[in-house]
Amino acid sequence: MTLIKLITAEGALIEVEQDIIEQSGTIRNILTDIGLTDKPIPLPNVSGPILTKIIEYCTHHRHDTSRRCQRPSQPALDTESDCRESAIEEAIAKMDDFDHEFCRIDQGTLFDLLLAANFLDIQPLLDLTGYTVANMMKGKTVQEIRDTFHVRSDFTPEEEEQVMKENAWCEN
Amino acid sequence: MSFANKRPGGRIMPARRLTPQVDPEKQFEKIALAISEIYKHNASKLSFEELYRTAYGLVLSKNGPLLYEGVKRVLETHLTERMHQDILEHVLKFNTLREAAQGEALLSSIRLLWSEHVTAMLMIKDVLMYVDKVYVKTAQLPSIYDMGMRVFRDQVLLAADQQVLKALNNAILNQIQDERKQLRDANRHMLRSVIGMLIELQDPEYPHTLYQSTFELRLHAMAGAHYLHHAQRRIEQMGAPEYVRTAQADLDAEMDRVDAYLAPSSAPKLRKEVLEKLISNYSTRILVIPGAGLAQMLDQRDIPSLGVLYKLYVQLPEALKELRDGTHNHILALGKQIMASTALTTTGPSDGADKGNTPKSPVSALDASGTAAKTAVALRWVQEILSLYDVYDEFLQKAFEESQSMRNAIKDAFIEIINANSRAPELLSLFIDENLKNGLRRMTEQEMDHILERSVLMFRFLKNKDAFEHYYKAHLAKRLLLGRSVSDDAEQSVVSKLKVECGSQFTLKLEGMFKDMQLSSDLARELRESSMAADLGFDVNVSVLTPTFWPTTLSSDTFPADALSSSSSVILPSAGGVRKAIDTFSAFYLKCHSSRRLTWQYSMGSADLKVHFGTRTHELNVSTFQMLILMLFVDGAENAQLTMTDIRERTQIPEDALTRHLQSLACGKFRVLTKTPMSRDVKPTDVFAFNNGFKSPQYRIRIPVVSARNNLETEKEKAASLAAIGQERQYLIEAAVVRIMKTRRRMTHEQLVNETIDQLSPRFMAPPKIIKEGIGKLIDRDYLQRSPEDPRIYIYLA
Repeated sequence: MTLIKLITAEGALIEVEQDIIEQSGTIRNILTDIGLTDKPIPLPNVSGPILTKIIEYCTHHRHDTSRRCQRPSQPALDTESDCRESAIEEAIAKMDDFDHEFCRIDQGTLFDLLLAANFLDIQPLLDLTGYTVANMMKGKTVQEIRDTFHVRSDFTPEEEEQVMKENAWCEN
Repeated sequence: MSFANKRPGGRIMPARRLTPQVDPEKQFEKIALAISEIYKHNASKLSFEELYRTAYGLVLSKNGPLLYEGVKRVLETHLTERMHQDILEHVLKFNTLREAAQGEALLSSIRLLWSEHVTAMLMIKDVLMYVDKVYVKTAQLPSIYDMGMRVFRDQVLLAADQQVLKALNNAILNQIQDERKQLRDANRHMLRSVIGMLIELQDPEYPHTLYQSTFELRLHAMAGAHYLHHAQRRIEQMGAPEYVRTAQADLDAEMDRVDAYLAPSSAPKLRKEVLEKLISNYSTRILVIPGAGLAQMLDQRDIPSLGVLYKLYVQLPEALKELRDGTHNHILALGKQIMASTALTTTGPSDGADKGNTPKSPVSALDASGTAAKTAVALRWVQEILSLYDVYDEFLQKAFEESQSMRNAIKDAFIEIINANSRAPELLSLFIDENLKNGLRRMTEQEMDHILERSVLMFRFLKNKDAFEHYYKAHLAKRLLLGRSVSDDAEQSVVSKLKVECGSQFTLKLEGMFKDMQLSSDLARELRESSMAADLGFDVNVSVLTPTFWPTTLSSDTFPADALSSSSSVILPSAGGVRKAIDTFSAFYLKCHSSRRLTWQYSMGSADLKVHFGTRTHELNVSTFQMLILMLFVDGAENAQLTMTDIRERTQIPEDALTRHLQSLACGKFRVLTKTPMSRDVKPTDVFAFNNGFKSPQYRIRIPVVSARNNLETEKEKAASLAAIGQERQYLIEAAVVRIMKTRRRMTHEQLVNETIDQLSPRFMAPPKIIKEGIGKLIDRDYLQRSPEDPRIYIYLA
């Protein structure tokens, strides 16, 4: 199995097997265009620990062939949301114990993972982390969410009142 | 940059921190530079990952529009520049000179730019994949690749009033036209690329490709005009075979063209152009080209050309109809010719001597009326029709691809020509008769089987099948009784084929006849083995016939209409134990079947006589009547001189038969009797004596009586047959009418007539007039009545 060389943000060299890291669409893309060379691929916006975690995830799921699908080319806009919805449901159903355990990490790591998954185009991991964050938000009021995520409100009091009124109907 | 924070609830910073706070414009510059490097074929110098990350960063930092629009601008500038540099000059040269060389150069330049652009766009698309994934979808813009395609279309092809596109299309069409005219081979590889480009690019205004909206219609129009022109020329110069062959070749060439470099959607349209201009417009004319049209192709058995003709015509319903009709009518014409050449008039052989007919038949010269000759000619009619059918069957198989509609047209034509001959049922029966008597002499069993099968097929086409049955029974009776049938298997196979056609009802009587013969031969054996036959001295073979199965009026040249009574009243000689033999048999038979009655018929029997002529002895095979005559001269009466009248009185043989039999004994090839005076015709005063001086090289001689073979009926016979058939039809018609009325109770006259015709059509064509007569009779006999309210309606009376 061919080994792919990656360079983390800190400049560390990490080697990983091709079939594991090709779960990342971005890496796949790079390899297709540039071809397999011995030259390492620099990833300045992914830190070492995060990359390690990602490799851990991909290693566990390396045999999930159903996930390794090519990006569909030009899906029709109207059916896209339907496809996405059912895909999400499917993804949630497929999450096993490893996945749940994988996400018992601190928020910082979680968000870093989410961003890295987005950059590297690893859809299942993106779904997983996104799902985890969504769950953290579920059932909470606005203020509770702000507290959880340490988000500062940037509404003026009038704006806040306005928004509350507009959304009053779904408060029940 | 953050490491994994162990504190719960780490602060979330906007994604911006992942990339340094850089000026988006500067970021974009990197991309713009990269694009131009890609076009300069310097892609390997770039870091894919860095570009990807740059684009990613721009999208995340909400600079998607900047990136997208920027890329678009870069592409536009680049392509416009290239268009002016590389393409425009070729356009101008081509528009001025319009030569093939300029066309080629123009196509080449466009193709080069296009393929470079496609390669570059694929790379750009990959680098900007994140843009496609995220920004493009939300902004509902065309993907990067699509955008690139559109820019090419707009900046290169459609710029300045579409001048490049127009020149391009012209250059392509010129090459195609040159190829079509066989002036020059098209550069297929090039055309494939360039046309591929037209197929890929979408028209800005309509939901079509550029191929469809700007090219295709002209393509078809040019093809149409080309073939229109050629059709006009060819139809004047070529015969049908050549014309259709060139048309097929053209069609193949166009389809080949489509496969090689056109869009598949053009295939049906080009096909339509070829067929319309070459075939549709001239479909009638092609068939009737003088000396080289459909008729000639059929007569010359030009199967390859017919095949090509059919394959072309079958694609056009109107044309196919003409081919069908043409074939149908040609068969009708041939049928008429065959009728004429077999010299068949409705009168048939006459009853007296036929003037002006030179019989060349092998039958003896006793056949004064030339009946045999006419029969032979008539049989030729059947043979020629069957041969003709074989020819057209071959056409169906090899040229017309077993087409159902062609088959029907041919079948209908044959039905028409067969039934146009009013004597068809009789002739067909005679034909089968000939073959069953002599067939295996001339051909193999397989060939005979084929002929018989074809004959039954012809039977299927007959409208008056009951007439056929009438004749077939008569001919079969003669064959069986005279032992002329050459193969029992063949006889049985014909009957079973007829059974398949018409059901067992039809063949009931025929099978009965066979059974009678079988039983008779069993009976003969039993008699021989029994004690009663011990002292007979010779074999007696009697055919016992059940009357219902056998025809009541056998052909009158064997015995006249009232034959049944008169032939049984001949006087049997007591000499030679003849009478004793008959009596013995009667006794034997009635012992087993006491309640039955035997009526003896002597007209069709035969006998073997041992006759001494001086010192010589011959065995003569003669008919029963001949035997009776000869036995008048037996032992002691050898020197007798008997007149015809004497003979008549002593044997009681009916007049007609007597004449013929005396002729056969005294005036034919084997003159065992002398006649005074020595003339052909027999008068009552002629004197007959035993010819002691008779000589012949053979020991065993068969003395034929006139018309041992079946012949065409004479007028008199025909009238008799028609009467018999007519009588039977009346019964059938009446029975059918009663049957119909019984179930329906009430019907109008038309309904009743039509229903009756339908029911009887498997057997014969019932003329409405006869049906009307039948209805009248039934009314008289109180089976039906007219409705009191409406005289057109009949009511069934129970």
